Amino acid sequence: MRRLFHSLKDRLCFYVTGLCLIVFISIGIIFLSYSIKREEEAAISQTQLLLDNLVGQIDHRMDVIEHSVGDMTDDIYMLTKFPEELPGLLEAWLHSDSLVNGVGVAFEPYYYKEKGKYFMLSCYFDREGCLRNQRRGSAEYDYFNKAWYKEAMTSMQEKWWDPYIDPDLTNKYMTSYFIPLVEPSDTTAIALVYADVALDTFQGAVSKLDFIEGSQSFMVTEQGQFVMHWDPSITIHNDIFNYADSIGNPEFKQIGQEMVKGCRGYHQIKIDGKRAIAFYTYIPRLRMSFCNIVPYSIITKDLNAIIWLVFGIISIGLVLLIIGIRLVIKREMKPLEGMAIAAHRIGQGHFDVDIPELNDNDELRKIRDSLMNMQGSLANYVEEIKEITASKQRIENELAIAHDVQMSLLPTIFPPFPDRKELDLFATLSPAKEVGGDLYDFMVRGDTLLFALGDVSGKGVPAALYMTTTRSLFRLVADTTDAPGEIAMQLNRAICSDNKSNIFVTMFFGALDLRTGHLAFCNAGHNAPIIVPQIGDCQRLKVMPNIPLGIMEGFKFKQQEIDLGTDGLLLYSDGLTEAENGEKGQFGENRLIGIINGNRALKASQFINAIIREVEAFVGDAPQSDDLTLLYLKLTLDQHK
Amino acid sequence: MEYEINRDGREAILTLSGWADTSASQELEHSIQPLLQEKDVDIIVDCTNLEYVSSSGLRCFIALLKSSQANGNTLLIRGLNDMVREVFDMTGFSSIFNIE
Repeated sequence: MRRLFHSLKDRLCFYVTGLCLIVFISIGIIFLSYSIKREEEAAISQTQLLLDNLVGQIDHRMDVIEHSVGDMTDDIYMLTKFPEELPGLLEAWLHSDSLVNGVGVAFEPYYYKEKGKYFMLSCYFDREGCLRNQRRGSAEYDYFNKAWYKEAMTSMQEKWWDPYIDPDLTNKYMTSYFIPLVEPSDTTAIALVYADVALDTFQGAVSKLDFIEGSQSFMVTEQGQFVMHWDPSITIHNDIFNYADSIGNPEFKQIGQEMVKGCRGYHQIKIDGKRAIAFYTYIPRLRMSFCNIVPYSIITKDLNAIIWLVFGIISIGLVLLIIGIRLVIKREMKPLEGMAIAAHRIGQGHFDVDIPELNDNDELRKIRDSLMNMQGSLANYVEEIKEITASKQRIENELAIAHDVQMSLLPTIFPPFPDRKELDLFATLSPAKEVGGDLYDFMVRGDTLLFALGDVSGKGVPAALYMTTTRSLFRLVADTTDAPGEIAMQLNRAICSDNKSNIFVTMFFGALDLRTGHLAFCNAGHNAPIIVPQIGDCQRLKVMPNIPLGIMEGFKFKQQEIDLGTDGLLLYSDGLTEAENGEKGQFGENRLIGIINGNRALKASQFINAIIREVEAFVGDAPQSDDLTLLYLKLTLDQHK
Repeated sequence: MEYEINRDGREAILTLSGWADTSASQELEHSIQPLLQEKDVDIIVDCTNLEYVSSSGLRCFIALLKSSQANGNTLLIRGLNDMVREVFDMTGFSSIFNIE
């Protein structure tokens, strides 16, 4: 969602509109379902009323028929003396009564001697609708033995006969009404008057009723046989259960069962996959059940317009809502945009930018106040940083200059004595910080090389200050004597005077006779140099430790001597063997010996560079832990000779 | 590194342990200041657990030595391990300190 809407405005608008949409739709659905229920209830009560009405109407029609047949019976009685007139009477009567399909009268055996045993007159409309007037009754059609005749004449009661199909006459569902004709004088029955009524006559009653338009009706007998169906192809020979099976509708079958039981009610069913309500009622006089099926689509037909109206209103409402919300949000968030611009400008370093004023004491005001606060703090902070940076830069510049000054104190041109071909000498110094406390120096006087390598305790600026002093003192003292022991003692005296800070210097002094390779040396607490023969094992120069310079005034430094010959001599500060890698491991002496053995044939500069490379590889990314100083010298005596 | 000063009558025992490199030494130098002012005490530096000492660390020993001489205190160093003892030997400190 955040990707869809880049602006907070759009997002807020979306969420609010979405919520409203949900609320609107919920209300719409509740409203609709309530309306549908109302429509459904209305349809149910209307249809049930109509069904009751139908029963009443059919009752009424049957009453009419009963009266009519009663009247005719009276007419027939009056014409019993003139049997020839009877067909005319029947015909006239049939014409006069639209409900009746056929009428007739069947006399008792030999009622008219001259007419024989059977005398039955029947007047009816045949299948083609033509009026037929027949005399019936014969040995083949022995109506005295027909169930209807026997039953009516024995009971002497007028009677509606059960619905039946008359295949001979109309092939329709029929019912008949019988009235025995009684001789008033002796109350004996002389004939049976009847009227046939096609049941579809009542369809007229159905159509006159104002059933819901689009609804469909059918009627079944007590056995479930269709008497009437909205689909004309469903003939009277179908029964409702077979029909339900054929259309695969068990609900329909259930309704059929209710109907043949004579129940009244309604059921929700599905016809052709569409929901509908089937209303049914039993018509007692006809001994039939009537059913009216109303599809839901018709019940809710009137709702469609309302649905569209509701959705229209919701849509328009939503559009108005979106516009309104956008306007409101835009107005409310306007200060935020101003503040965002201000914050951006502040971020670019414009601390004087104006932050929009706000009157309301709300959340936006809090943000604004915080922004103001931040602006002030940032301005101060940046000012501070500027000052710190400037002073740091100044110190760094000064330290860089100090570094250059310190390095310039050391001899850095190699080879240092080009005319002394027999001497191969190289030295290097790299301070752990800009300036350091290590030093080396050398000079040639006559045929003697004076050299020294030292390490002021500590590192950084305090050590560096001492280093420069020591180096200057060394130059002064070395001017007066070639003896390393004497140099050490004089230097010690100078350093000890006024040394309140307990700084001390370990130092190695040597004086090498360039003609003979004879070395006089004095070690003032420094680590012993390593003798590097051309073949064979390296070994430490056996030195007396004495003590470092600057500790004890008047200490007697002892001088030693050795014939170095053409062996190399490596002087170094403890920054070499104690160089640390990231894991606090030390470079160590063994590693150093290994490198010396592998590189001893090289010239002094390459030899030292090889060691430096190994140290750098060992230390890796870890910061240099201490000043690192190396000096290597080697004589080639043969060449001199 | 860690350090501890314990007083017991005339005895002041300074116990050092760990790695007395340059950065640790500055703090140590500061913290032994009271000991440098003392008079007539027997200072014992217990180095049993001191693993390493740099040249800056040695300065603290020098300070102790000088103050002891000035104040008439005795100074005894004990429990040096091989590595520290080598440093003491190499720098000649072994000869100027009273080492047990």
